[in-house]
Amino acid sequence: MTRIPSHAFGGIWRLTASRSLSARHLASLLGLVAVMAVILGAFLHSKNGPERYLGFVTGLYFTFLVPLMAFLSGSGALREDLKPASADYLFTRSLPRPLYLLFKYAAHLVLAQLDFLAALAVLITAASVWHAPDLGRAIPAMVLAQALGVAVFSALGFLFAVISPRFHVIWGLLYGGVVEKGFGNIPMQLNRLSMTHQIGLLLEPLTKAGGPAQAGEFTLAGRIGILLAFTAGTLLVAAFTFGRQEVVTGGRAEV
Amino acid sequence: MNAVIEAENLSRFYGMVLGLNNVTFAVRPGLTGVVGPNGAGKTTLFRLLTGQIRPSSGTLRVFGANPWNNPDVLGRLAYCPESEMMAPDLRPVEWLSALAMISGLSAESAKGGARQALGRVGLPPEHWRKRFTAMSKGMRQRVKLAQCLLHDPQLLILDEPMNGLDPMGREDLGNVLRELAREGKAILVSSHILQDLEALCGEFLLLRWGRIPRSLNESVSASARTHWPESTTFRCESPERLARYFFDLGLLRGCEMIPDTGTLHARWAAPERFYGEFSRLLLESGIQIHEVQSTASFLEKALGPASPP
Repeated sequence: MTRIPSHAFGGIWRLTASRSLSARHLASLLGLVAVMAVILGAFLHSKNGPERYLGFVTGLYFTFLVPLMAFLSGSGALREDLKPASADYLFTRSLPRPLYLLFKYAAHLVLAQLDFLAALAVLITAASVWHAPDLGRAIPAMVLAQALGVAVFSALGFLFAVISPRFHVIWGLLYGGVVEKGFGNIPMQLNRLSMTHQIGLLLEPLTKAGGPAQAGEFTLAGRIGILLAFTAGTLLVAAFTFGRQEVVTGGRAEV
Repeated sequence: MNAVIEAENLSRFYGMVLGLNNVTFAVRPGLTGVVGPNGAGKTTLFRLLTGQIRPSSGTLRVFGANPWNNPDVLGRLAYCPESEMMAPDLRPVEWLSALAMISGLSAESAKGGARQALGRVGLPPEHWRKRFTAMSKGMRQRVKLAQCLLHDPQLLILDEPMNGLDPMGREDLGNVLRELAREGKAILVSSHILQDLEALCGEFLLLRWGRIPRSLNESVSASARTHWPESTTFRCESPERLARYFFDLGLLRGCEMIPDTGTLHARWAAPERFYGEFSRLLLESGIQIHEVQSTASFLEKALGPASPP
């Protein structure tokens, strides 16, 4: 029987997609989108007005909600497979574990991007209804910023799920607080370590919310390159670690 | 016959918690039962064999190689875990196809393999398109077994595969496993239904508190199993007459009777004579027999009461 590892992507895709298309997942996505629509509607009706819409969206959505939700969905996707009951079916097959992680990330990323595009569509529709200025010019940058943000923080979710399956949220929040928000707000070159800062800079032409530009800051292509390189590096570390650690560590109950 | 699995002084600890403690054994092609009370180390043994965890000390070879993180070894074995973690929104053919593809089969081969495996485990085709949530435990159990057959493995490790199956289902499963064993595969199977294991397996590994005690395993060795049970319980129309009949033939060493329930508990002086002519003796007794029961299976006797070491 011929066995080709690349076929494994098809299998992982099917299992991942089945979870993403489950009624439970779709209901939670719908709920999230509805909550966002309410928050956005309240903002646009407030004294801030539609003219401050892009700043609001950059500050709350692109540099907080997208990173947080992408991190949680990435770590959650891998953690589901790391539960002993799932691992017994998935990691007792001939596919090397690092390759499994990379295929899983690819499948998850495609589906996560679709979820986040639905959320972004709500933001854009709401802004359009309330006539937010410069919306047409902002849309390409918003789509790019979101796509990169989802890729970066899903990869971070995978890494933290591998390093600490039980406490990944705590470690993730610590990382977010220290590196993303802490370093990201320091007006020195150290803030380049913050990926939310880099995402903010992608949206800088539309708003000043990304923070003041530094001397020697990167071009748009450079910023995209940094985000992609960070994603690739994070995934490689996750795959390397995953290939060398025990998948399940039985407790006394399952000896 | 070459051993498929060889373990030597194999130990696994979870911090201070004992998983397996210095066990040495070999498993050859055919059916081997793994028996032990909860916490005996069965799951740890299976996870070591499937390369999910590393030994703390000792050596483990599966197909002559270390199974830890070894795709070549994993490609030749299959594991049917006790747990059920099937995607609830999937149907058996979809789930099995996905798992077969993860094993490296093309989409077309995976679908064909899934149908073939479901047919082999006896799941009727009308259930192949049902969601797992709409299936009985017995049906899901068959699907779990089918996922082991997708990539034609040489070693099958089955953790409680009889769970949830009715007697007919257990018999069907037993036939499938016997057929696989005849094809030269090695099958390691655990079950808490000891009578089924006794009927199915030729070899046994008895685990207790993370060890494989030599005395226990000798007591279930092939030579020990040629010994007949030393006592038998009958439910019949007249326990007194049956006892007298056996006594006159010189078969009885002792007996207890409960006339109210028509029960005779007979201890044999010469068990081989009774079991050797079992049917003739009972027919010639002329007494109506309702039930015959061996007091304990040899596995039950070997395991005895569970108590800490």
